Amino acid sequence: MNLISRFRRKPDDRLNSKQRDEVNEVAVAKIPATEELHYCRVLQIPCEGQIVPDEAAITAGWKMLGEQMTLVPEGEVSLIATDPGTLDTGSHGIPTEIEWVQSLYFDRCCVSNAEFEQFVAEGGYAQEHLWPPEILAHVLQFVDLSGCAGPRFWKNGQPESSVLDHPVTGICWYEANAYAHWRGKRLPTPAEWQRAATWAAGQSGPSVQTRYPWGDSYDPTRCNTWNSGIKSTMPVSDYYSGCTPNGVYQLIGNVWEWTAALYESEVSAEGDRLLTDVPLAEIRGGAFDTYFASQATSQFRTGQNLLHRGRNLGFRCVVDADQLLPPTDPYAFLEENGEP
Amino acid sequence: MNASTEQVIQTIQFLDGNAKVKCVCCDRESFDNNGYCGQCQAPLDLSRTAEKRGVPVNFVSVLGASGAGKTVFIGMLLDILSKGCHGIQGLPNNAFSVAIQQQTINALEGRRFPEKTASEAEGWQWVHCEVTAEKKRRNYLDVITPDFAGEAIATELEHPGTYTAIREVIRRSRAVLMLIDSISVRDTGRDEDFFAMKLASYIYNLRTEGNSTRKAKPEKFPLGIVLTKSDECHEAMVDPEQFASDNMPGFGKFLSRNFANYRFFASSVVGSSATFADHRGFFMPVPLHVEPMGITEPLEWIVNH
Repeated sequence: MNLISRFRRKPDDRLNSKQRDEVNEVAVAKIPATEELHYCRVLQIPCEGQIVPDEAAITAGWKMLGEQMTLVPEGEVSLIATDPGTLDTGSHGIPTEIEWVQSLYFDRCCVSNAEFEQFVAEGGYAQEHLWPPEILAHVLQFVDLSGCAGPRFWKNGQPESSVLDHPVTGICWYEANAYAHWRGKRLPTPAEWQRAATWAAGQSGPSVQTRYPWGDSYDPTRCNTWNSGIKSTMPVSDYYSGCTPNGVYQLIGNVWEWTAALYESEVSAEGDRLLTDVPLAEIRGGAFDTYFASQATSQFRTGQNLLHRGRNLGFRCVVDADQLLPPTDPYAFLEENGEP
Repeated sequence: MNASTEQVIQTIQFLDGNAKVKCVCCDRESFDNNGYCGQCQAPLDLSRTAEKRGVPVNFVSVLGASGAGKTVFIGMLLDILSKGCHGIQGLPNNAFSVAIQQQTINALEGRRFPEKTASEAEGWQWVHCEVTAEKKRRNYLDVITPDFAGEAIATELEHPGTYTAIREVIRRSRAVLMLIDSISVRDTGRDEDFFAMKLASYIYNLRTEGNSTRKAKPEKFPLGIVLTKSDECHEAMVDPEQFASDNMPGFGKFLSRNFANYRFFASSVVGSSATFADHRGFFMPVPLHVEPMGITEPLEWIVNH
């Protein structure tokens, strides 16, 4: 069974590039209905005493999941050390930490303004259970340009209509976590993010991971970084040529992505360490304003203040594969998702 | 004829055979076989290149206190210009202009800041860059600026005449970029305000030397004030002029009284940073990743003026 191709959403090769863009545009610009956003909650294996969803709901849930997420198979990831002695090696550093990643479903695209708007409209900022107690006092300060609850660069609780399909930015780590929780998902760990972004080079064997989803050489036409010259975000489904083989868009460039873990430096053998004024969360992938190609790779690790609400920082979500109810009719699901 | 006499004669013959080069910075003539001007220590290569081009040279000075980020700013500016940005492009005219760009970029990519500029004039790196507007290639500007050490600027302000190069470059500049560390402005009282006032006053006095009616006319040449490191000073990034007005009242008043053509900018190079602490108690700032902002805008403003 071809595990990868069955989850891949590749635009029809018979379409020309303009038609392909139109297909993508329609798919992403559509603001999803609120109930459609919660398919992961529907599919979660119920705890004892909870009602099991009916077949129709499960089928609909898997359909939505297949459209918006893709399977990242389990496997090993080699993480670069973060001790001060190896900082200058950047993405060429010697991998010192091997982590095992379980199978998970990974958002194909970063969370868009349109999707985040649903969270704001549903009162996500007022739902206490979505926020850790220590941050509740800060939530009142998570406002937009007009003082309404929402991402920093919105106005009146809404994004500009021209950027509905762009990644949501101006959100801090806590807002990203709250949104993921609201969707029944979570942020990926750095190892999970890297597992999704790095693919074994065809000739090199499974232990060699490429620097970019498409290979080892930087290519400014496949991602939106400083060298692309765009200097702002682009729609979340652009840069099809920079996708991973299983159809994850823009892991490199456009916006940095929050991960679930803190960026904590290891202490070197000599006792050297990195200090920060405030806790940092690990961010990955580089953004439209990332200057060095070597800092927008699948392996490069850096951090950002948890409360930072930058113009170049967004996120995407994941859900553990083993926490989902199986499709009621796996064969129908496979057929619908491309498996003959 | 003994050996020493012969050596002297040979030296004279050698010097006679070499033309003198007029320093582009201070006008002093030096023998072409010297590497640097004997008065201001500007590299003679710079003067030779400028002379060969046969066009008037426009100095743009980049000034600021020690630690304001002059080296990083100049190095990053050169690198961005060499790729072209917002319709302007800049190409270094000689190897020593590439050196500062190379050192800055290598350091930042390796997650370090470049080494501190030496206080001695011999250790300064000079930049000669031809800046052109991509649409109007004939309208170019030969930008020459040394990477002055902040300590040398401070000494020159306290004891004018100590560093000839600083004095001459400012005197000849068509525009000045004054770099001010926004974090220091926010966090360390009025020191930055006072330094900026002294520097602005020094510039004003040099520019208006011999001008009998100087008090009546504010100086018109472009003065760009760049608030650096604004990635860590949100208020400076949002509204640099308001930030300066709120936190540097003396400097703001001085500018409005004496300069007719000034503008505030905010810039940053680093996306986030940390501090390296070694086991001996040595601390050093570390740029975790680089995302330049507001680097070319001040020069674009100057070019447009």
